[in-house]
Amino acid sequence: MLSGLMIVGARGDVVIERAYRDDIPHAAADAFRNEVVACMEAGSAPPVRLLDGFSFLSARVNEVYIIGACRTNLNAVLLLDFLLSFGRLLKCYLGEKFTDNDIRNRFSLVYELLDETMDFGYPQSCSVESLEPHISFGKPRARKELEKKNQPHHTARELLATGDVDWRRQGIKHKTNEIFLTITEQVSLLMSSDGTVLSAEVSGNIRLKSFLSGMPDCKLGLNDKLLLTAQRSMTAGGEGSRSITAISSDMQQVLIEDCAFHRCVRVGRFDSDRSITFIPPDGEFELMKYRISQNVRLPVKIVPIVEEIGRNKVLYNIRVAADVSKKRFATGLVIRIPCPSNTAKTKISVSKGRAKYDVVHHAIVWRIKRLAGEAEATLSCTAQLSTVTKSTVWSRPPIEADFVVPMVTASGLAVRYLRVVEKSTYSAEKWVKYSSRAGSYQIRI
Amino acid sequence: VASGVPRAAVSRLEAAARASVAVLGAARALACSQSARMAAPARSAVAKPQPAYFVDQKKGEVNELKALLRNQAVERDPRRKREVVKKVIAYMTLGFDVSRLFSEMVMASSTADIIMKKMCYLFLSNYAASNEELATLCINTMTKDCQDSDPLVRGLALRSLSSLRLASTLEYLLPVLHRGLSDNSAYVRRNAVMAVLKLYDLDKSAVKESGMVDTLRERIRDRDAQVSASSLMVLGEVLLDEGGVIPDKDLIVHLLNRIREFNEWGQCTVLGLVVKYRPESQEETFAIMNIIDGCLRVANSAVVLAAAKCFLRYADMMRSLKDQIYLRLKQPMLTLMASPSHEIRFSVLKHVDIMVSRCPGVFDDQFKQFYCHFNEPTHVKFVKLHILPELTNEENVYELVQELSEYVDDVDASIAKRAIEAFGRIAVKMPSGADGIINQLLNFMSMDVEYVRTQVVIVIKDLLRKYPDRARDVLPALPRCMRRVEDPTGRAAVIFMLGEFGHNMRQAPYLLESVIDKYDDETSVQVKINLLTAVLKLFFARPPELHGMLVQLLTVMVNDTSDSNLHDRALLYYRLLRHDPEEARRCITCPKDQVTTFTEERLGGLRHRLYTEFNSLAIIYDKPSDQFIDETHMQSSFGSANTIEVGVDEDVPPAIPLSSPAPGDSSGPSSGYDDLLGFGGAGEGSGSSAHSATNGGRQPWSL
Repeated sequence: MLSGLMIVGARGDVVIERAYRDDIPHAAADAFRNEVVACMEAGSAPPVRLLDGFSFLSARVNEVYIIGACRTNLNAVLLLDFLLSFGRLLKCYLGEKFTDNDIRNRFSLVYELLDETMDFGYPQSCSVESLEPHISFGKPRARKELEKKNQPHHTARELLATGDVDWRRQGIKHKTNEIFLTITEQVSLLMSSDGTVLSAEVSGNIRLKSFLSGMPDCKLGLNDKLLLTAQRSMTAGGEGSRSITAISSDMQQVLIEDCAFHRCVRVGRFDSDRSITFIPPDGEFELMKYRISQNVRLPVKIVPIVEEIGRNKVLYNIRVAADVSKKRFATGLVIRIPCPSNTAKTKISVSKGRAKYDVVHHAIVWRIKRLAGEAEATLSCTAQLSTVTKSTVWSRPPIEADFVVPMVTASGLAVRYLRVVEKSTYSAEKWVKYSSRAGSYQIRI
Repeated sequence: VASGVPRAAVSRLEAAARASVAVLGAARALACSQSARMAAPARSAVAKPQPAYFVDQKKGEVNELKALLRNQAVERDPRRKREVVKKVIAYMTLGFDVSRLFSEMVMASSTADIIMKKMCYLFLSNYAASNEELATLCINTMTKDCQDSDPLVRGLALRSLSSLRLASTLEYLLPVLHRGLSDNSAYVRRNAVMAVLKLYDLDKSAVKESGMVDTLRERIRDRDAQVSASSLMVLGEVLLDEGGVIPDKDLIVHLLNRIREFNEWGQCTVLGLVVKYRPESQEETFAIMNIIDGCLRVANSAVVLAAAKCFLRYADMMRSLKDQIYLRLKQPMLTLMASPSHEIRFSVLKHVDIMVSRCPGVFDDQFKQFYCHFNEPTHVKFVKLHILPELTNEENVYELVQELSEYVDDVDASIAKRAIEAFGRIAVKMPSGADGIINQLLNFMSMDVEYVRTQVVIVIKDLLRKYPDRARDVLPALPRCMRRVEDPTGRAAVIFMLGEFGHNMRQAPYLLESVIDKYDDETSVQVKINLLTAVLKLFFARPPELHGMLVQLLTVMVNDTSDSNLHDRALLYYRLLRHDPEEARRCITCPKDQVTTFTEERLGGLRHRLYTEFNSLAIIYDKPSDQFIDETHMQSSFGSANTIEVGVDEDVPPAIPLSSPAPGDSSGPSSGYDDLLGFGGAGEGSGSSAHSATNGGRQPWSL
């Protein structure tokens, strides 16, 4: 268990501190804070550190460090996880981009959250849903939005979340029953300079925003390859086989390598027949995350040609293409093309978007607001290098790209159906949104 | 003096107001100006007897708050009162001493307004320790609140009362706790369970004598999962001397059947108990494995790792299933590695590292997942660079070497160094790839980067000890190295190679001569010692050329008083040669055992001990818990210290092999990780190099 917990601002100042046991002297904590600040300047600091027999675990959320201290051999991942969940909780209550000043301004709320999530160094509940009745100094952002839209929903204190479905209260009512499903995929790419894909991977998540009354039972169908093959083999020869094969033949099938679910999903059912069934919590939550590394279709292709000519000239010729269908497009394209640190002058011409040499990061930053599917853009640039006395070899860092491609999943994952069953048999409105964005998208040059 | 006090105090006050963070904004500024107005009379009553420099900066404001708290008008307006209390808490958070308001806050705490109550209790539990006699005042309110009709108030009061941590609360706390443990609200029960632990921290015997341990045991089967989990956590600490909760079949079945009801932390606690449980039969093991298999699909990394720990334990119990179990764990671990938080990624990689060394081959086909990304934090790259060589096999060695070559270009010197080290480890692991790797390393020498050159020389030196035949490729590069390597360890490595393999190299003596000539400029003992050994070794191979040099070197060295080690060794060699040159030759050029494995590869003992502490800080630090935790805090641990007891199996050497000193025992915390293939201490180049590898730098030299 933790001996103490503190929240430290970006400048290394303690914002909030809680001591559960008396075995961490102040001096040790101060020493650690100094080190954190020092490491922050140096770049990276390992999240778990040992200082004179005290272990400090830190998680960075926005610009704030949440730090736990202990003297025993604890379960490191569990505590880091706890610190991160506490950070998520703060985001939920203080806003996605909260700063240390937000914490200072609403310290009583933060104290209250701390009290309910950790007692005497042991983590308690961290789920927004089950905490809500205990928190009186504020409300999660999602709830506020909801109340603006819907009728105010009664926070009945007697209905403390307990029992089988502790993530959902009984008797929730919404005027309109809606459920929003968002599939977001992060595409990570590592491409070698000769254009071979070293690794391409999609890590995706499915987030749900559910505003459903009562105790709805939901079932989500994906174009999961294992599920579809299982169904086909089961119904093969049977009567219903026609309809299912009809679905699966025109739909791309995806092999999900590994997936993990929110607590509400009945994992047993998934393991036996790969169906995803659950009673959702009210509000927004992450239903599932998954990882796919086969048949990843890269939504944005980048072909770089970088030539070093002599000692003081580098020629760039970069081609970017949105490899999606004509109806779709990529937005917010930012491509960072590194230059040697002694670059003196750049002459850039682009066929689309804007490009500028960023002196601080020694890189050409090329921004394209929108690139239609199957379209292409090129950049050519001559970088003049100043002559330096000590010539060092340029390490050629990779080109990095950032983008969002709406309505496309790089893995090909798609929702086949989402069924909502509730006693009162209302029909819920369902919305599905897809998007792919760049994770760590790097092309070596 | 009397007129000086207020002015000084006010100016300090203003300074404080400027300096303090803009938390309270306008309200705060208002308070300041108000306090400046009202301060004079209040202070004259309180502060007069004290010299000016003892006056608290915030005293004026504190007094003002005190007045406000007592104000009847404020009393009637709950909203205003709440604001005042909030301000008090704000000062407390900013680190000002507001403990003088204790009695007012006690009074304020008897209110129906739960928000205000919460703030008051927060204040009280913060200052109770420093106001012990006043604290008894609030016990009354709190005990009364423990019987409130609202479960939230009951729970809150119970938690606050136990958080006061005062010996004087003991007699009041016990009856309240007993009642709380059987309250009909789960929230109150949970707080009561946690309160038992706080009481235990305060007075161990009180808990054991009150029979609360038995009540807690009953609470494990509480219908609310959170109460149940908390009871397990608390009992784990209370019963530490007895080894925590000892699970029996009944309990395990009960808990596993409802594991889905627990929240993520509860699941970890339950899984921590499952690790301790030894199933009676194979069927039972399979049944348990089936249930915890579901935990691998939970989105929480702590739960997945806790479940993995159970699986790893079963893998040790049923050797036939070992590979299958590791295969099952592979995908969930890879998913955790893709976690967006680099904190989790780092910790998980550390665990993968130990799994890879425990069961080589499982992660091999996924080696690309361990490639470093350009913008990853350095510590994540370090772990990856440590894992990558372990994943090498015949098929992927070419690709891996290509990839590692990319990292040698890294701007970060520490990454480049570790990448070169990784080359060395691959070459040691795979004799078939060694040729290519040595050639590749020689290519790096031309890169003209100082740290690369140094590291390459160090790694090549170690490789030559294993593959002496390759010396003929390396030797031609040495003259250049000699001129350009500046780092002492690197120079020592070059000199070592010249001595060991220089007998057929025409230039070797002259290269060494240049070093001897500059002996006085040399500061590194390591270089000097290696120089002595190298000259001596070459002397027996090529006496006519070396004779003069040896004499010259021994003369300066015997007179070198900068290091006793150096001096003594020179003297020893000198006497040995005088005694009988033939004897000396036999000693120094004795046939060496071929190096087949390096000690660092045989870290089995340490790795094995670490493995038993899977899923704890020990893995992150790469050292067993007894090396970083003092005795008083040993054992006590949450969910993880229940180490996996594993039967000694054939492929793992006993914990500390006598032949090699326990890694980490003497040679510092990071041995076994940082110093892989490292040359280590000063005298390793001396004497028989085959044995120096096993001596691990502990003894300065051996002959």
